[in-house]
Amino acid sequence: MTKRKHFIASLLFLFTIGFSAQLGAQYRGVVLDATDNSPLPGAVIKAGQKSAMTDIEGRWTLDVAQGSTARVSFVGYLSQNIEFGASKEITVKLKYDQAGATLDEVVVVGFGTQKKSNVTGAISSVKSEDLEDLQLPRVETALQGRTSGVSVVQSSGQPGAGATIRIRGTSSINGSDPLYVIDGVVIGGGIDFLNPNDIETIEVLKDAASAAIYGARGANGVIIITTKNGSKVKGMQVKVTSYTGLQNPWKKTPVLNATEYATLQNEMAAAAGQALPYSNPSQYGVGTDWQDAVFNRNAIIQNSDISVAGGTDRGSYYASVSSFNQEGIVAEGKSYYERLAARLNTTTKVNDRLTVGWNVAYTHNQSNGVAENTEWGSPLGRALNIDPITPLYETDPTVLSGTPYSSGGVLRSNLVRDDNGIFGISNRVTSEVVNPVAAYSIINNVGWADKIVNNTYAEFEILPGLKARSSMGIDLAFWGSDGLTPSHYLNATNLLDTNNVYSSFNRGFTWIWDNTLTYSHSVGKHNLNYLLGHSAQEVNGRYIGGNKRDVPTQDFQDATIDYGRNEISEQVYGGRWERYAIESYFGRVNYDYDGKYVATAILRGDASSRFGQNNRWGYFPSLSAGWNVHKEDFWIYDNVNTLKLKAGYGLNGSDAAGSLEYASTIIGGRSYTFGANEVLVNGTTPAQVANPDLRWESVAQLNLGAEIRAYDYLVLGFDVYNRRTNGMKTRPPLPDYIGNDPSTANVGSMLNQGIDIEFGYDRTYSKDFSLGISGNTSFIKNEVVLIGNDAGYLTGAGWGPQGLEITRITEGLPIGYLYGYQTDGIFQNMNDVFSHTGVEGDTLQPMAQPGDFRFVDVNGDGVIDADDRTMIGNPTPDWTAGLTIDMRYKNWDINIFGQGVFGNQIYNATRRYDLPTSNMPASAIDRWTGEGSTNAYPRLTFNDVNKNFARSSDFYVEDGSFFRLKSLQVGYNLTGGIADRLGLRKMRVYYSGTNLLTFTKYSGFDPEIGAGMGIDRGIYPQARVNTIGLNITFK
Amino acid sequence: MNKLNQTKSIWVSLLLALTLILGSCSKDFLNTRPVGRVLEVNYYQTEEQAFEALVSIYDVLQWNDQYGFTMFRFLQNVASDDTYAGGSDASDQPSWVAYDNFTLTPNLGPQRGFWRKSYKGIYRANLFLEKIDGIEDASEAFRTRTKGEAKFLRAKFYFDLVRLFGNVPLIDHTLGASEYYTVEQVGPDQIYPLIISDLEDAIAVLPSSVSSNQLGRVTKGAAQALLARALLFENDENNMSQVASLCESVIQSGEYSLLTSFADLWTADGEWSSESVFEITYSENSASDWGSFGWGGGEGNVGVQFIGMRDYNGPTYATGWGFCPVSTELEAAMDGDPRYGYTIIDADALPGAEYTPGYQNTGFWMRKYAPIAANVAPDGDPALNWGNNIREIRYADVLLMAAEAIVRSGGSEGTARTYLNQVRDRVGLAALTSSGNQLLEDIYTERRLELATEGHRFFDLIRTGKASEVLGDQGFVASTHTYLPIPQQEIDAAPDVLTQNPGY
Repeated sequence: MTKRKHFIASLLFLFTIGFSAQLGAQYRGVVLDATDNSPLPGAVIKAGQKSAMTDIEGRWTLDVAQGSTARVSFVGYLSQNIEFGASKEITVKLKYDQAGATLDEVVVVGFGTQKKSNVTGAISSVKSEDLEDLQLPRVETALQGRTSGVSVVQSSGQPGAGATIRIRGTSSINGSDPLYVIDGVVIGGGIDFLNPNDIETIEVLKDAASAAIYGARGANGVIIITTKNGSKVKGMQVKVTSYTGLQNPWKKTPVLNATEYATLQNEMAAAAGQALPYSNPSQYGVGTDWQDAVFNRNAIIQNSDISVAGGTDRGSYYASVSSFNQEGIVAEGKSYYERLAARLNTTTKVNDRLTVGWNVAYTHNQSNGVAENTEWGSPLGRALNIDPITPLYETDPTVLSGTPYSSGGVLRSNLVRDDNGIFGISNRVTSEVVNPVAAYSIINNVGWADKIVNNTYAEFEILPGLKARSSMGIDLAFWGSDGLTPSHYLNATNLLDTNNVYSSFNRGFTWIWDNTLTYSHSVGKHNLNYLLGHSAQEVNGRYIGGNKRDVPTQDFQDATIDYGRNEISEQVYGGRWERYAIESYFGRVNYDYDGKYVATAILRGDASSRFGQNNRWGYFPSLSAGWNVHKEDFWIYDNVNTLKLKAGYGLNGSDAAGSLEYASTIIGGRSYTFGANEVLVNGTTPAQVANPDLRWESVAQLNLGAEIRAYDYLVLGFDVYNRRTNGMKTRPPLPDYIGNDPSTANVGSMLNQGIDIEFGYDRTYSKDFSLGISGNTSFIKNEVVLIGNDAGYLTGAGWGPQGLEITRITEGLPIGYLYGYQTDGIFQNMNDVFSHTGVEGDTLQPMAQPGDFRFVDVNGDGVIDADDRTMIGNPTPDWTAGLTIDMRYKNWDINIFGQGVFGNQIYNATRRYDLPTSNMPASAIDRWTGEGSTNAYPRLTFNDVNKNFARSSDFYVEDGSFFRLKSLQVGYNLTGGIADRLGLRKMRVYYSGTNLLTFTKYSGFDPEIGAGMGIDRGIYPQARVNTIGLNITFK
Repeated sequence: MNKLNQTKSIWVSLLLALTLILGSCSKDFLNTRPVGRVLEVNYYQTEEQAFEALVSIYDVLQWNDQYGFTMFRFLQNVASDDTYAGGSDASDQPSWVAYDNFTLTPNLGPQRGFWRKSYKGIYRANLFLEKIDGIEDASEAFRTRTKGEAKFLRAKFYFDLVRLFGNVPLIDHTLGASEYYTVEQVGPDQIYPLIISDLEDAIAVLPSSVSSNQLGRVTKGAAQALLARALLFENDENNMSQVASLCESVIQSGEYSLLTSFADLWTADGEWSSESVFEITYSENSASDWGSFGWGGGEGNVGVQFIGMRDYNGPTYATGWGFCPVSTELEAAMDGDPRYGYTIIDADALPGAEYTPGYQNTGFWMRKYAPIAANVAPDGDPALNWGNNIREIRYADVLLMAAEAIVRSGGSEGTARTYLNQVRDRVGLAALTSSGNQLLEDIYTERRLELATEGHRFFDLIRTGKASEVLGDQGFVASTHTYLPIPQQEIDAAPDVLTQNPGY
């Protein structure tokens, strides 16, 4: 708490930075908001050469001659002319510019802004007004469901986990993450350092015509984030926001209880002719509920934020400090995330021509995470697979004196225990499926990061209309992790005799220097705007880490590498990143004729150090045009306020290449053991075959769109696109007889086609009631056009120790589609088995028994074999949609936000099929038990000759569609008299519920599977959160 | 400063800034000199670097995990009648099950791993042989010996390929891009000459013994024994006298002798004993875990983990994954043999032992390479850090090869019997006095029992023409299963170069 106080004190210091108004005059007055008569500080009264600005109470004074006139203006309000008459006291009431705020909204387009009505590309915007009442743990979530064509999927529910963002689909097999530009600085390593409350706007450049200004890095779309700068604030504004929430799992996955488990295990043994493992299944009762043991209920999420902002015509500032803490809903104490962020943005008008600015942000975060979405041992995966007969704690002394707890009659020293005793060990389920609580209780792996992002710029007006701008961005990041693996015995194959302490430290440093010249001029109704720029960027980094065994403590807090005693075990690694440099030239021309006909042309040239000399430069052009039909004289439909048609085509690049990917480098670690003392001697080989011709991947995209506004309160935006990736890098499978791994080559291509629709309804019915509805939906079709090898496919994800192939990338099919056998029900009797024949009348599955799956002979060759595997699902949704409803009645407001995806499938890989003793989903109760019992779940046996479970098949594939009530918020706003008396401008108290309802057929924990590409290996689900929050804006 | 001057100065400084940055972005700005890494074109300059390249060829010997788990010797047990595939259930390691039942298809089986491993080794050997003469820094002695080693290793990889596949591309240099699809798939008649000439070159230059800190590097004896084995497998009766003389050179070299105790052979101390002609080395000290396994770490012998009893609790042994249960045929054949207890574990006879029976469980397990609790690796995942060396060529094997070749070449049966009886006498078996065909059969029987579960049986059955008879009920058809299918993925990648083996 003292820490927080300290920050508030520091911030208060900033209050003393004032912006003084001019003093002494003949005329005086006040400028008020015409709607609520609140003062407008910072409004400008300009009379010829003289001007004045209103103070915090909206007051101004000016020494001018009687009879002269002045213009009163304030950002976002309609300007007004006044005349200085007899009265020395003038009250001006300015009206908020409703139409201007929407129609002439300004959109950030990269190296500048553009009036929305003149934008010819496909750009979606999210404004701070849309975000300020939401609880966003991280910035990416602000885009989820709020913009069309942008798919945001939380990679997991683990605190601090990132989100997978795809703009108009997956454009490449080599990574499709968008480019992030924050206050003009291209940022690597994600954007979780940002405090969501600092965001002013987020713009998403979706089409190639817009993204071409980022050339070689625009292929996956660009997300431009602008932070707040205080210029919109009247005078000074202090804002405090805080919320606290309780998070809980919203669903448990039903599995067998102990009695059911023992019963089915007996059945499996009997079917395989083995002795029954459990003589009396009912004696075990319901057994251990492992999910209850693993879930952490009422986990806390908390955020506090204080900001100070202000603006005058001489400059503006914005400063904030925030603290965010989140516990996870799994593995209490072992899954959490903390972030402390501070920011200071300032702009100063040095004189009429020169503006300088400085944005600096510092963020510290720290987290501890548990494994997720893996069959090799995540807490939830283990909870689903371990048998319910094993107790959470083993207390029976007789059991403890036998195996596996004791060895040779002596209790093992490295058994895992806590205050409640020794954790139970399964004697039935083996391998990675250990007691999940015991397993996570020994995890100590704290990751941390410190990041400073700074951008300093100067903008100078050389001649009227001609501006030069130079900006220097710095991104300095330190991150690492510290961990201790205590000695432990989890089961016979998961044990450690001496503990191991490890640590790593990384430093990344980026600078980016942008210089631009812009020139605007008009000739009659022809308006032209030119941009010419140069950009250079360099990225460097280094890392070091190590580990050592046998520290004389099992306590993470006390363990450091220096404290380790086993000198031989000490290992150190370290190195430098490949230096990455990129240099670019770019230009843009915006043209419009009377606002009716608009066009933009862009050309950018990039040179990247990631490619060899031959292919170092790439050129990325784009052209787009629009027609504001409603501005034509013939437009007589008064109710349709706006109709804009637009079209654009452009080329973007992706230089996401590994360093020296084109070269053949020497790699070590090809070691061999020599000598009686078994010394590991290092060997080296070339890492791969060189490919000096490696070049950019490029994306060519055509976009056609329309924007319509009707009755002032209805908007509809519509875009269709065709997006083709060419020169996609694949590693063409050279024959292995060449003897070395192939390098990547630009051989593949991919196609994404889709429709993005955004709509809105925003209407104020009365002073007391307003209603806003906005939504978006996107359709996308992805196809891998060319892989560039004779086989026409690349193997995808594997599952389990046998590496069962469950996804593939194949020409003509969507990327990463689910792959396996098709089943056609279950053989009910031997007659069914015999009548399942191939083309030549042979029985296709001669080994099958009643109760086994009938597999489909997909290729019709009369044999069921690997060639019958086919597409059994698509992890990419056909449709995504988001819907927001905003209502305000008097002092109350309600915000409802829902989001969904449709038409995708999930591969449910949560059960270890290779470990037949692992627990099963409750649906196994409805297994096949005899003729006519079921056609969906095969018989259970330890001798699964038909490979009902050991084949990848549509049995594991489920409908992944869902619609989720992401958030529901009810707020009460305290304004007017009471707020006044409390010295507040505004106060809002609210309740917010997150993930309150989910509509899905998916049987697993959560249908939102970001990192898994449609494969659920035991994911960490999203939490349901109930939050109470308070936002206060001081006077 | 008046306003005009102020404006000017800012203007000038901006221009200066622009010039500065344009100037800084010279060619050097984009030229990335690799840091912490060396390009192939700048490497292979020193003797040390040459030695690293040599080590990388040896490295391939110990690989167990190309495209799945493909431990060469253990998989030969699976294919033979020594052991079954095993595992947790019928779906565990499908490629092992396919090799066991001869339900191999071009897509299913261990062939892709074997293929890749051998050609990786051949590439590294070819690369070394191309580079070594250009390394001026290297001494002549170093150059001669290491070339011999590289040729030995290349021969070893080709010998594996020719036995497994029969018809494979013969590649004796590193391929340039234009040659990828112009190589030719050839038969054994063209592959053996390279194996033979490589081994003859190696024999000429390799030392007869190495110092204890070099154990693992090949010797003249190893090259002679390997050549003998290759010629024996090539099965040309005209070469049998050469086989005999190669083996006798090894015998007479004085470098090798049978260990007194057969049991001691299979302990950690028994590695590089006087009986070891060549071993593939593994270390329990590399602290591998699943994250590093196969990525430069992974110097442990995971095969040992495979053949241990599943979820084992009891004396002596550590837990394993239940593969390679010993066949009832082998168990019966060894009944009463003094080597039984050091070859086969009878799980039922172990006091207080329990384990989970898996697929094809017989209750009998491999003893020679069994995971021993006392040898569990100190660091890393125990499963991945077994240090058991593979006894690739034992002196006992050389004696039996010598005996066989002498009989087949019409040499002195007395000498042949002497060698055979040395092997029998070591374990306390009575000397045999048979002759003619019976002697040959006795030698084969002795090979089976002496070398049981060491992964020689399958190829012995193939070369002696007995595979159909012995493995027929396992599914073996000589016209098809003498060779593995060429991996389908390899044919897909080079359809104009490769033709599938007959029967697949």
